[in-house]
Amino acid sequence: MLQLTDVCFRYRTSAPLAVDRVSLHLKPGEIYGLLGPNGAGKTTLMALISGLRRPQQGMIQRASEVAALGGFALVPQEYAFYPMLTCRENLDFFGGVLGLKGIVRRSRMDAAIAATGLEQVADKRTSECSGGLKRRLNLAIGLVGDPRLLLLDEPTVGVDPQSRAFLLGVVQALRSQGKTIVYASHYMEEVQQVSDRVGIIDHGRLLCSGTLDELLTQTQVRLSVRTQQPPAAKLHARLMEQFGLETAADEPGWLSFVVSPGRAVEDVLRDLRAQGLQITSFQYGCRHLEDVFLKLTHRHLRD
Amino acid sequence: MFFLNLHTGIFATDMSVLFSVIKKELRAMIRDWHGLLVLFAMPAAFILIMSMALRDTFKLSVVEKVRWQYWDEDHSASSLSFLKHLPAAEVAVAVRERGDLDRALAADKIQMGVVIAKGFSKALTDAENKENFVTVWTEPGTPPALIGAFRAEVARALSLERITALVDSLEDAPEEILAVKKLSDDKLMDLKFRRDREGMGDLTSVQQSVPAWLVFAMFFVVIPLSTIFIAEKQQGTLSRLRSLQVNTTTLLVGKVVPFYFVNLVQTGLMLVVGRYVVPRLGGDALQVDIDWFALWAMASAVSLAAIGFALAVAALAKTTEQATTVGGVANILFGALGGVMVPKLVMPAAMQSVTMISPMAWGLNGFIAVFVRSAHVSGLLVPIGLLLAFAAFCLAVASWRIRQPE
Repeated sequence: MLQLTDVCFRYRTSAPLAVDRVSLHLKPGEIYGLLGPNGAGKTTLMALISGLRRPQQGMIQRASEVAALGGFALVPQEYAFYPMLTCRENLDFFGGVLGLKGIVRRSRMDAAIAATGLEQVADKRTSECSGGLKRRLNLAIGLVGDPRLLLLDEPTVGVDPQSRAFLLGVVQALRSQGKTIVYASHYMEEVQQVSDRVGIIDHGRLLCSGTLDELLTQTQVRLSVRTQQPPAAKLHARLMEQFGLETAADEPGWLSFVVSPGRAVEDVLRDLRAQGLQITSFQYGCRHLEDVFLKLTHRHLRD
Repeated sequence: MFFLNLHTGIFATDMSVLFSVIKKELRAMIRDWHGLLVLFAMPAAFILIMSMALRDTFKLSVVEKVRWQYWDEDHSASSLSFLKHLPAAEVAVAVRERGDLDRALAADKIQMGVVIAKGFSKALTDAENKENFVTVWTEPGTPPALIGAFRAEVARALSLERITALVDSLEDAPEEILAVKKLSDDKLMDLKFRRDREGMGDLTSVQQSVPAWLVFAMFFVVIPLSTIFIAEKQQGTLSRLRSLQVNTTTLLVGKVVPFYFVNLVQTGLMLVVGRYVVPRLGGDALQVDIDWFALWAMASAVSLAAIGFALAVAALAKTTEQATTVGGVANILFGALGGVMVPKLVMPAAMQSVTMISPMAWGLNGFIAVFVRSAHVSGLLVPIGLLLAFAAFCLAVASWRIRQPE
C-alpha cells in the first residue's frame, strides 16, 4: 500500500531534521497509529506521504490505487474547509475538485454525510457549527472521494469526549470497510484504541513500530515495589547500580526498577529481597503506551 | 477543455474542476457582505461626492460664480464704468466704509474685494503712470483658479476703461478712432474656449470621477480576495487542495474569473451612478456616447491588472492583516499618484509625469480616452498593453509563491 524507506526532511538547511530516516510499510486495511508529542514530526510525515512535500533523502512508494486521483485523502489538523459555505456545499466543492460528477458526486456526498452523522446540519453554514461537527465535516471531506488510504492528522483535537468517541467509532467503521488509515495523534488512548500497529515518533525519528502487544512486551518491563521502609542511602545506591532502580517512581513510597526483556520478574523480586528489602506489594509490566513512550523518550507524551 | 499552466508548461485543468472552484468562489464572495460593500458602495459614494465637489474645477466659466464686492474711493464715471465691466457679483454685502470690505473678507462672506483708489480716473489717461489704482484683495481660501480668472476679468475691464479714457482725451482724432467710444463690454471681441468637439465629450467632474473611482474600486478587490485566499492558506484548505492535485493554474483561474465578473458589474453600476444618480443631485450627467467595445476592453485590462495585483499581495502576505494593510495602502498610493484622488490636470507638470508609474493612471487615462475622446481599441493599445503586462507579472509572482510549500 505504502512504503517509506529512510525518508528524511528538514525545513531549512540549518534546521534539525524534522523527519529523520523514517522507514515504514503500510499494509492494506490496517490502521497505523502514529503516536508522538506536538512537534515530533507527525504532520511533516503526513505532508511527505501526501505529496505536499518531497523527501530530501529516501523514497516513498505508493501503490497505484493510492497514487491515483482520489486514491488517498489527507484530513489535516486544521478545519480545512470554507466557513461561509454549508457542510453540503463544502462536500460538493471537494467532490467537484476530485472530478466527481452528477449522481456519483451526490451519492458520495450522501455517504460521507451519513458516515459522519452530519445529516441534521448538512445545510448549515459551517461557521455556525460546533467544534465537534467541524471535525466530523473535516473527516467527511476526506471520505467524499472514497479513498483507499486516509491520512488523519490529529482528527480529534479540541472536541468533547462524546464527539471524540463518535469520531473513533467512525474510524473503526472505516477499517471494517477495508480502508487503510494512518492515525496521527498525541492522545495515546486513542491510538491504543483504534490502531492495529503503532509507531512512536519523536524528534522526527520513528523510535519503534509494531503491534500493540509487540510494543508492550518488547520494551523493557518496569517493576514497582512497595517496601516497609525506604532503603538506606548505601542500599539505594547499590540498587540503582545493580538492579536498575529509577530515580523517580510513579507514586510516593514506591521504588521503580527496569527489568530487562527475558528476565523473570520472580527472579528479580527474590534478588531484591536478598538485598534486605521488605517488599509488601509490587506491580510490573508495561500497562500502556505511555510507559512504552516514557521508556523510549524519557519524557511523558504531554511534556 | 484545457488551459496552459504558465509555469510548468503542462496543459492541465479539467473544466469541471475549474467550474467547481469558480462556483465556490462565487458562493464565498456573495456571502462576504463587507467585501461587497467595499467593492460597490464605496466607489458609488466617492463618485457622488467627488463629482459634486470638483464640479467647478472642471468648468471653464467659473468666474461667473465669484462672490465679490468693491470700495470705490474715486467716485468717478470711469470707476463706475470699470465696475460695470466686471462679472456680476454673486452676493450682496453692504459696504459703507473701507473696513466693511475687510470684515466681509475675513468672515468669508466675499471671496474678492476690489478697492479703487482716489485718482483712478486721472491715472487712466496718464501714460506715465505706473502706480496701481486698483487692488484686489482675496479671501485666503479662494481657489487659485478663481483668482486667476477674476484677475483676467479685472485686467480686461481696466484695459477697456483705459482705452476709452485715452480716446476721450484725443480731441482731433479721426472718426475711426473715435468710434472706439461706442465700444461696450458686450461688443468687445472675446475669446471662446470649447472642448466639446463633434463626436467628443467634455471633461466634466463626472467624466473624471466615474473612471477614477471605478479604477480605484476595481483595485480594491484586493480586500475580499486576499481575505478569502489567506483564510484558505491559514486553515490548511490550500494544502488540502494541493494534496488533491489541484494545480496552481486552476486555483488562479478559479479566482480570476469570479472577480473579473465583479469588476464588470462594478463598471456597469458606476456608469449608472454617473449617468442617472449624479444629475439628480445637481451634477452633470455622464456622457456615454462612447465605443462600448473599447470600454469593455479597458475594463477587462484594468480588471486583470487589479486581480493580478490582489493575488500577488494575497500570495505573498502571511496574514489577512498584512494583506489588507499592504493592499489598502498600495491602492491609496496608486490612487494618489495616478490622478484618482487629485485630478491629473491640476497637478504640476513634473507630478503629471510621475503619475505614469501607477497602474491606476494607465487605467484612468484609458477610461478618460474612452469617455472624453471617444477612443477606440486601436487608440488604447498603450494603456491596455501596460495593464496586461502588469497583470502577467503579478500573476507570475502569485503563481510562484503559491507553489512554494508553506
